[in-house]
Amino acid sequence: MGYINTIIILGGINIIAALGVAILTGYTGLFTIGHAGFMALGGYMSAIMAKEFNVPFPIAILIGGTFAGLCSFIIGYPAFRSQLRGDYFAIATLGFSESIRLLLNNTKTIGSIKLGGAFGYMAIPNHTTVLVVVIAVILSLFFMHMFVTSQYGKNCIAVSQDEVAAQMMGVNLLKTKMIALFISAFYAGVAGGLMAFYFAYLSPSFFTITKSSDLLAAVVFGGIQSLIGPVITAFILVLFPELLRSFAEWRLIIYGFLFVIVMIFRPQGLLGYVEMNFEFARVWWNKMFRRKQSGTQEG
Amino acid sequence: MELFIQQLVSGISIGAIYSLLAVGYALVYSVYNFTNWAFDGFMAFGAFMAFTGITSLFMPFWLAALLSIVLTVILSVGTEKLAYNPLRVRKAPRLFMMISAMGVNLATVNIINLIYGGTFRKFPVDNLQPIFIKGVSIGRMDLMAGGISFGVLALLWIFLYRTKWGLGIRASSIDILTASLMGINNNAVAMIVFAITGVLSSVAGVFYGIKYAVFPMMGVVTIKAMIASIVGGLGSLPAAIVGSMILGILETLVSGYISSTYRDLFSFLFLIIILLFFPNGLMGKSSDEKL
Amino acid sequence: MNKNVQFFRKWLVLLVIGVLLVSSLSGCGSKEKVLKIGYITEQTGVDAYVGAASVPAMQDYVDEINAKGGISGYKVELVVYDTRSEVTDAVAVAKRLMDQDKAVAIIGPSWSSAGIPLADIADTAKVPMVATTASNVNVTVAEDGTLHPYMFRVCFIDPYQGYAQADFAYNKLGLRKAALLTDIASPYTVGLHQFFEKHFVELGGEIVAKEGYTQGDTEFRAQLAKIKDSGADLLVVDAYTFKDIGLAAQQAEGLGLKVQIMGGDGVFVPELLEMAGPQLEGAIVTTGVSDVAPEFAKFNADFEAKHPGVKASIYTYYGLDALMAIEHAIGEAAKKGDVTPTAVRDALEVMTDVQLFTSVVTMEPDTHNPHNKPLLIMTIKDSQWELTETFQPE
Repeated sequence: MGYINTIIILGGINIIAALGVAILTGYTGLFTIGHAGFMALGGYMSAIMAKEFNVPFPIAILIGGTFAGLCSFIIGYPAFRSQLRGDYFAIATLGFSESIRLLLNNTKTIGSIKLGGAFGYMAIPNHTTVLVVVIAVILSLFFMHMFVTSQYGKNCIAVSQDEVAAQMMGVNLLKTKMIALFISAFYAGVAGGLMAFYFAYLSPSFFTITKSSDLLAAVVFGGIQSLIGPVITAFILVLFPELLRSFAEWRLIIYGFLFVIVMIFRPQGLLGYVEMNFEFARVWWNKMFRRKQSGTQEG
Repeated sequence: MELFIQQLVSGISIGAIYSLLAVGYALVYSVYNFTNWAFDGFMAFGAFMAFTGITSLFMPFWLAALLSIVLTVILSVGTEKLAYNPLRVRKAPRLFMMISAMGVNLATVNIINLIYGGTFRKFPVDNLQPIFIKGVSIGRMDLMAGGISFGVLALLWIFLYRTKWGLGIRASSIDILTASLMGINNNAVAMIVFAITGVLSSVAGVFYGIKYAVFPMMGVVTIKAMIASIVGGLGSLPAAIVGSMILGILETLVSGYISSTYRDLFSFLFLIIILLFFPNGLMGKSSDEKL
Repeated sequence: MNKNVQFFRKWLVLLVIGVLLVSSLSGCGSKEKVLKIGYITEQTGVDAYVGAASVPAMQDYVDEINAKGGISGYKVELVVYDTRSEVTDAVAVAKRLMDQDKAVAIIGPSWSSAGIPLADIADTAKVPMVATTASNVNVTVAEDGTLHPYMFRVCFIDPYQGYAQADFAYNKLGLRKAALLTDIASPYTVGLHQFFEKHFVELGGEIVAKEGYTQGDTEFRAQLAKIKDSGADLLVVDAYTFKDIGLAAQQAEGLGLKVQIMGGDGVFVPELLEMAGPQLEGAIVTTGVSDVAPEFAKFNADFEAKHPGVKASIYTYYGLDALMAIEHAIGEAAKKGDVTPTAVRDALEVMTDVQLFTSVVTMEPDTHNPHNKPLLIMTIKDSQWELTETFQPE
């Protein structure tokens, strides 16, 4: 079971981080190639909380996520205020995440906390289990679904479609983008925290540009303006290389061609614009229980 | 003082390398408003083709370089035909173009990695020795890099401002739709732009290969060129060179006088500050949406 | 909407097929007495050369073992998985080897950032691991000083090499002013330099410049100009990849910086001489294995003839070392009639004076590091390696 569990855990962590990218790239139309940086911030922060201050680990993870979210304002505010878009913002996120890695590599200690620099932060308590990850994924999906169907979510979609039109309709661009970025970074931070408590070890080398582009790939393949799409692809992108490990050398080549093929033939991604809904769950619930209820009423 | 001048000279020479790459980005951006992320794959491809020409096909250097240029142009134009053109025709969002370009890049770099292996190779041409002037070393290769970038820029300028084709490209860069209504063949313009990109990336790759080493991941340096072209202002060719020079000098001065460890952090902070005060870069054209 | 639902269903079906495929993959295998030995390495990404140099040699050796009838009657299979230098991938493949392939022992990983989390995993799964070139102290012994019972390695550790380098530079070469050029993202380089500095200063030397760069950099002139200005007589570049020291040497020559250059075993690869042979004339490189030793000449020639385009390097030797250590342990375990991962672990721990590929090795039971592995001091002369001295610790 260990191996299957590993895949579920790694897949689940990838799903949560990909959801973060989905809200930013998929819904708000902001291209990010630096989410590994937010994962690093969240991961280190929650690990410090749990290891050094004995904070219970669910709270430590939330603190980590919030910290990542707050740090996102460092690039978010200047970038959005000056109306940065597209390539500019992408490079800013990349620069941010590389800077985080540089700082972590150089930070051996903060006060009495031994972060270890390039050696990595060791002996983090081990908390992440399959159950924890499954619960976290369900909660993440639930809250993200709430968000994208709320007015804020609709604002995000409006911004991604046409900024000028959205602004004319009274959408506050800066606020909308900042909220999207905060949530996005929060999710990445939570994923980072789960990762820290799974590996019991963090090293700046975990959070490279490869990690960021994997997340982006999940959203691109999964589809824009969809939650279920990136969730499925984020998991498949963990599963697929495991299935095809013998084609190791071909993996990234296949990714590359898929990027192009998806963009040309199905640019909305596999499940683009498919909103996750719980219709099937409601129908199922009705079938299972309502009938009985109505039955008792009749009887 | 000698140290300062030496650092300045090194900075300018690093800037020259960046500008060779940044010009390639700026050209595509000026016409199509998107960053050609595949540039770094093209660069590695160009370097490896020249490398193969010399080591496996026993060509003289000039012939290998020519082969590399021809093949890279084919790759670049082919990419435009297969990966970018279908999207542009459909007026797909810029985001899609960027993703498609990243895909091409990922595939190119990893195919090279598969064929040649990930190791570092010395380009089989001797790195020219630097000249010393009063104890300050000035690299001949760097002088060449500077010369090539300015030469390429001059040729580009003549092409863009003194020929009919150039006029077409400039017209397309202002408004691609109107330009096509005025009888400018969009596809021909695209072919020319990406052919030029191919030449630039091949030259940059061969050059970088000789100066440093040939390896599949050599294109990582293009991130710096991208930063440089943003600092200068995306879409403007002279701005790309100015941005490259500034970044190159800034990097060496930070390494030399503040901390070599935190060099990249400063480059990034510099980028953020420039963007805060000059949202379109130092000399860039406005990226505001056209209503 | 309907279309979308259909699409969604299609994907569900695909997913189910995928899951089935996984379970079917896990179902097959192990009918005869075949022992699987896992190898976690890099076949793609920036460090792809590690796998490229080691996998063919190890596969050849496994074929050789099987042709001779296996280890005490057990046939061996080498199961190789790529990590593309990502720790998450390394963890996933390690679990796969332990869980699905039921590997009796695992070789790898080659770098410490993966070795540290993998040590915990090996302990939990009770499958022994033999790291090849992961030289950080904490790979086999946790930060709090407890031993990871299932983690071993065949290379020497960073403190030892850093100590030896400082010792040689100060006492034998008589150098007093050292400059360090450190890859700050590499635990290997940072670790070596930390211990170099400690011992060099203890001896009475002085570190006159500490400059940094990051993995993938090719430009070192700004740092080298500063080092030139500092008046250093020794430049230590214990890089993880040979490119760094090669380019640093080229650029140092370009700047007219003339110092003794020194590197660690990470750069002890033949490609380095091709890249910067003349510029590195007289440079010192410390290593645990030497491919110029006459006993390897035949191996190298055979290997290169069999695998054109591939050159044997330290990754080849350390990979073979780990494989032979496991071969020995399986043999010992088989003698007791109990070839389980735990039995192999026990045999690895008490391994004494066993001839591996590179040298005779005794495993230290309390650290799981090879005991007193000799350190070779190599000098580059006429673009060739030359063995200057063998450094044997007390």
